[in-house]
Amino acid sequence: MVVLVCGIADEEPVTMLIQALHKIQAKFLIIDQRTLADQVQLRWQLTNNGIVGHIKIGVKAIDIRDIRSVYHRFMNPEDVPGCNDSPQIIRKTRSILRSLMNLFDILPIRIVNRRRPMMSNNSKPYQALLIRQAGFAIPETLITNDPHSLITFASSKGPLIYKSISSVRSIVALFDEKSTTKIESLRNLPTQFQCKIEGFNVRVHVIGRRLFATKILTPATDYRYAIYEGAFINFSPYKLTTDLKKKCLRLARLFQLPFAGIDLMISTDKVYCLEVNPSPGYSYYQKATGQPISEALAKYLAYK
Amino acid sequence: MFLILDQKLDKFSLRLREIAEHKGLETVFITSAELVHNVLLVFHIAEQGCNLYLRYRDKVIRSSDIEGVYCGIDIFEPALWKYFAPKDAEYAARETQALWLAILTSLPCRVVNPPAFESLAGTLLSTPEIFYLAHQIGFDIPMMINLESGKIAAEVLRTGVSAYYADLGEMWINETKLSHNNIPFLEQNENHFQVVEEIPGKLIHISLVGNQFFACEIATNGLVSPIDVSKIPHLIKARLRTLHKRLNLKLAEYFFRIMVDGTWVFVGYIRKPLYAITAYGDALFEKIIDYIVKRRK
Repeated sequence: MVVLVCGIADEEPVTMLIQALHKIQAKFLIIDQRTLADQVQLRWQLTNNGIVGHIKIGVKAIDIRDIRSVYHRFMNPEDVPGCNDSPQIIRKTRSILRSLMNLFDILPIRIVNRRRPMMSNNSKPYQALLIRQAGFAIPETLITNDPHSLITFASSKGPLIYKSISSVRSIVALFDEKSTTKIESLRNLPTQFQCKIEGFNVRVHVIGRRLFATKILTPATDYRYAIYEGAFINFSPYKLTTDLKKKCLRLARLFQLPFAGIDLMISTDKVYCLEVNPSPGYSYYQKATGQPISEALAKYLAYK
Repeated sequence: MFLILDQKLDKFSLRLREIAEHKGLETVFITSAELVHNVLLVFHIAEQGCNLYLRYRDKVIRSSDIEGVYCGIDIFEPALWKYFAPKDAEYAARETQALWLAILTSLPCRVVNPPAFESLAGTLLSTPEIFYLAHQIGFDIPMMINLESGKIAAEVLRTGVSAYYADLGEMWINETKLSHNNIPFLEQNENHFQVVEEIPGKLIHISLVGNQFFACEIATNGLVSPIDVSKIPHLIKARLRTLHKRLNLKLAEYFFRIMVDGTWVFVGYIRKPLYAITAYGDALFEKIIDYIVKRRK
């Protein structure tokens, strides 16, 4: 039985997982997105008797029934860094990706993570509604295309931040009430504003039943971009209370994500949950703190 | 208020509106283009609840005013933002989709169908997903194969099997019925393909509005006629209820083929009961509206 590791082989979260799988001596195979068109072929079928078939990677063919688990971190073929493949190769790559992902959608084994639950990240306010159900506080939020409503909200709720509504990556920024040009541009597209929460960030990685929490200290509004603002940033392991551990596990279960990156903001009186990331770039936190996230992920995939 | 949201005013949504109005319901119909360009929107998520305020033409719509929603919008297309640069239009479409997923999820009234991540009009599974789910529930399903090239797909199809195929390399999956004219095209194509067996037999469509069944038969000449629901085997009905629930749908039409030996094979579904509407007419629209606004006789 093998673990399948799928993604761009030299991307850090994938590399770290490969190293961890080596370390725990798990059997695994890599499906590298950069060589899909040359190296990978699938033939599988779904009938009244179930799913059968095989995947050929280079000269090696594996029976689908021999796959123990799958970790995937693919990108759109067009978005792979440095990709200058012809349109024909891109179409072929897309067809292989589709066949793989269609298979991973239905294979009754551990998949980190399944595609459908990962889509919750496409809508931050939708996530907020689920997060609230799991017992976390959420920042008060206004989404509007009406400048007047925004000004009323800002004047009653204090400092606001704004960010994208969807999964499109945006830099979280402070809203400036005096920026009238920006306020007027709101009429073009509803925008999401949230009360700014004072406190510190904690990223919690949930892997099966294991948790790793990392405290992030920085004066930057969006810690991911602290270095661009010239602000200091400090990462350290953080000890979660039993109650918080339970809530994080409940949240990951509610989102049907065996591997999740939960973004918390801990203020003096409440714990807010800002977002749940279904494909966490955990390497950033592991490098900064030495927390063995990749090893936990490898063990989860290898059932160790 | 009964709110109808749809891509455009088509035959289905137009009749839905007419019948709702005839039943005395205040009905508002908004297309996706109008939602984007002509609606002032304020959506507030507080720590405990949510509030929606819409201003559309001369109407003010609050979440508490809405008795039920029919939503036929799958996705907001970037083409709706004609004056945006392509990348900005793509961004606007994703943002709007994300916003309306949250809005429709937050409403206290019935929303038919409940929105899903991939479509605001309800769960839309891929062919492998829906067949696998149906198989898990106990339905017989057609054989579905993924093949490593068009050449191999052509070899399979040359055996005389009647099937649909799809090129998995295209941006949008388009299932095409096989004809021998397609084989030369397939042979030269290096993409992976999906082939689904076509099942012969009598075509039966069963619609579910909530838990109510409506069935019809589609003859080979295209003629649609209602059939007595009591003639559907109990096991099929029980499995279909399970499937409907697992899909989190409230309104859908499911397709079956009855083979010569009497086996019922599940072959697909749509989320608008189009054939059942042909068979049952306005009575079905009334049932749909009653279900959405929870009015029962």
